Amino acid sequence: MRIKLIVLLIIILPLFSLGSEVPIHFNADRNAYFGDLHVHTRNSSDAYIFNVRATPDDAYRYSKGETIQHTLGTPIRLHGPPLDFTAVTDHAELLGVLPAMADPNNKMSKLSFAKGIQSQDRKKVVAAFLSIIKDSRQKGNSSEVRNLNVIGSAWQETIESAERHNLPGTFTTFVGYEYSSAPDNQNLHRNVIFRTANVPDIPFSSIESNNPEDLWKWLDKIRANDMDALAIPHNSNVSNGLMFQRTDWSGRPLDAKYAQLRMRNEPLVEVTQVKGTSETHPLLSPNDEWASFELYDNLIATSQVTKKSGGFVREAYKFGLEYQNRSGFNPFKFGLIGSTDSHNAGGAIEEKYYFSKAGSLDGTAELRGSVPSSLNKRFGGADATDTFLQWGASGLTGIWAEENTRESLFVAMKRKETFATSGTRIRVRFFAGLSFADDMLNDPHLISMAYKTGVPMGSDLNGKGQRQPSFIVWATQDINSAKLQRIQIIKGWLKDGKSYEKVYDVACSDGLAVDSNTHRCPDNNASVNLNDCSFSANSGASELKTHWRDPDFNAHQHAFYYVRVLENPTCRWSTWDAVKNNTKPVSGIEKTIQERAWTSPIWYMPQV
Amino acid sequence: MDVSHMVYAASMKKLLYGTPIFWFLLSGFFLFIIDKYLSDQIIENIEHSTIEITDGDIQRIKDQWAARSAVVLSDHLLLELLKEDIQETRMYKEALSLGLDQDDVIIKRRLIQKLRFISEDLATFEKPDKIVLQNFFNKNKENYIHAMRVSFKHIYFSFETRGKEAKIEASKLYSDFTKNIYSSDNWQTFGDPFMFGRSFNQTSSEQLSAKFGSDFSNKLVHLKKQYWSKPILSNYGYHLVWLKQLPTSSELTFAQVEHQLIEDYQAKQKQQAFQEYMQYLEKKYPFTFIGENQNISSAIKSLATEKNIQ
Repeated sequence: MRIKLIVLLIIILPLFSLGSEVPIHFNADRNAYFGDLHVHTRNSSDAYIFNVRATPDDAYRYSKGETIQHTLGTPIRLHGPPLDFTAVTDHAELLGVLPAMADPNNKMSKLSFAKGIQSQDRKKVVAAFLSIIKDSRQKGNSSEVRNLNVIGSAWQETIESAERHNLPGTFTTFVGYEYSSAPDNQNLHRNVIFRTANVPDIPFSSIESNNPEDLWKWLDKIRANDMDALAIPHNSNVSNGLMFQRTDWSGRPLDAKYAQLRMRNEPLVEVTQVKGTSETHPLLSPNDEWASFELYDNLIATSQVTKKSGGFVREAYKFGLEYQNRSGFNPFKFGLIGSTDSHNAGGAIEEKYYFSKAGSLDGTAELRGSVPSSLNKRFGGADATDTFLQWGASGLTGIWAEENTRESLFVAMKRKETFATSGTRIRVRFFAGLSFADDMLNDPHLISMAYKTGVPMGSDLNGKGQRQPSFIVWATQDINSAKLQRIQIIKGWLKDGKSYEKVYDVACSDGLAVDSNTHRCPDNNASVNLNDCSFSANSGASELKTHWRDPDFNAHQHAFYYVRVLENPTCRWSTWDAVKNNTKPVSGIEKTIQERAWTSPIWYMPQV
Repeated sequence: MDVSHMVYAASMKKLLYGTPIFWFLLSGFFLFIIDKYLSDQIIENIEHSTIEITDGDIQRIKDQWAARSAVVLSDHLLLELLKEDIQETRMYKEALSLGLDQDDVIIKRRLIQKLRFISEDLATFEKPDKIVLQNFFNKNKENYIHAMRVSFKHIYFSFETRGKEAKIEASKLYSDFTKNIYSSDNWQTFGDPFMFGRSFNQTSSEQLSAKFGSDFSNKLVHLKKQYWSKPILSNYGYHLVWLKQLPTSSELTFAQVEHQLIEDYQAKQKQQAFQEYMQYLEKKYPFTFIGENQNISSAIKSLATEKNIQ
């Protein structure tokens, strides 16, 4: 009997072990994966007008490291490693409509609007485009340009392309699209990212409603039908203060129901991209010396300067603390990601190889004003207020996940274990705990211990009486970029109902120590040669790591902490353009840049 | 005609042809005709040189402005831009009429580039069917190989934590392992925590290069299986590496590279089309050397006979 049992076990046990086999690249301590969750192709009407003809397939090929054609005829590719994941997010409103109008075999080509789109004369194309937009906005789904068959078919192309390129373990694609609400040019755009390829037949667009709350309700509805998705807003910097305003769409004060609806559907915000960075602004954070980073000030397609308050994430985090303390809910408890918003089917994230965003409009240095040309010579050089000059080579999303699959990455996004970078591949860990050992940094099992005894970025840390938390921060450089200069922790807290913020340097490169009075690292003398863009190789760190305690901690105060990692300075793309052209860098715009990463915050919740 | 008339005519002729006033008037008449003819020509030429501004031009200037600036284009600025545009067109036309485009290297290059694009665009490339593609794949299999994959574990000695000691301490541990002073069973307790982990399975050389640097990745390929290596330098410090198994690479399947194959096939077709076009041009524009340098002359003759000028 015993022998029979042993034989049976010998047969059965391997079967069990087969079933529970751990995938090759599975890592319980989680890996950092980099990707772009915001890419447009010819199926976006504006990209089509920029003469972009690249398809969703091209976009995925670009992300996987292949070379694709820019509309101006030059080959474009990533010079660093391929990305780990990407979502093509074309505008839903007129998805695929313009390519259909240009296709003589498509019925759409017979519409009166189509004549202009088919023209070789750019002015006629633009005029037709504007009338198409107007018609779709005025008539909604009854407009003949909102042909749901065409939109459905382009949506199907998007889904099929994502399916074709999804390679679990190696490269992940997400089915996605952009919801493009922009009342009076105030940007309220959101990218919608689906968990799987089980998605609705037609994406919910701003034609259905300009009100993002309706989008969230729609997401709730489809989730009930097993179609999970999240919305990620971007360019809050040009929302005229609407993105994080303290009233709802109808003007009522925010309540718990609103906060739950928003946070259930919008756990992340895209804090950086080609049209500027939305972390903070010098007017909102006058004591932050690094606040003036890749700012862009104009409402969409206008010269109207945007309102600052309500448009930047650090301030929104502070608003959130006030709500939490006063009313017990927080409508702004979101994590951070970065992406490109490329309309070229591939993001220009590398300063040295920048090709901007908008196809034939800004694909050369001359067009974007970074070198002298017949376009700008009358102004004695480019005007620093020019749109294209203010745009930047940003950004990327970092996700800490067990493996490179849709499920693992999506779940990580939901728990906000994400970070944003300005385009480089800085990796950054961030944990908080109430019982981290003093020598934990040297623990061979540092990360598993940190997960076990603390919480990672994107989480709440629940206080226990007077116990003081401590923080583990660890960052490594992108080996294709400059070394790291410093790690900072940005803290926001609440005192007597009012919110405050402070920037602490917590780790310095080159063996330097933080000044305990100023909370700043001494200068590490890193420099850039503007004649050839070389930078000092002897300063900076390949990795920085610290175990930090907040010197101003108060156990009774609500607070948030997030990390900002700064590289040594390098040339900005506009300087690279000038160096390649053998001309002087354009005046009125920063010549160098300190590439950086931002983590999602950890929120300290005092014990009630 | 009677005699009196003939005498009258002859005397009149004499009077006319014989007087300077006649010749003065006649030359004046011819001058008038010539002047009239030339004036018409000039007027015609002036009309030909007139730069016509259309609504399309205005729109083009507006579009160009909108494309590069968020500042609203005022009427005044529009006029300024238009004035500049006209001036440029004027100079362009005059430069052409003076022949300044002749023998200009930049213009020559630009025209060659345009011709190249046109020649490539004119050739039509059909999407190859599966059989053609499969044949192409079979002939070029060596180009479609899975990147080298490596499985290893490592002990890391950080520059940031240990500074110059990193190499010394890594060497010491290596020496201790070889002398069996420490058992390498506890390998995970040595060295510093590493951001990317201590163990890697089936990791491609590209992924390794992206994390450790390409020098490190190249060195791994030459290590002995299942032995601790001497310290290897990476971007972050030194590593003792234990290769779990020898690096492997494998051929990619047809299905894995089908998309790439279509592109490669069409790129090859394009290249062939261009070469054929160049052969056509070679026949259309043969050349001969009419200089005196004998060495160059014979070299060029041999070039011409090879008929492979690209």
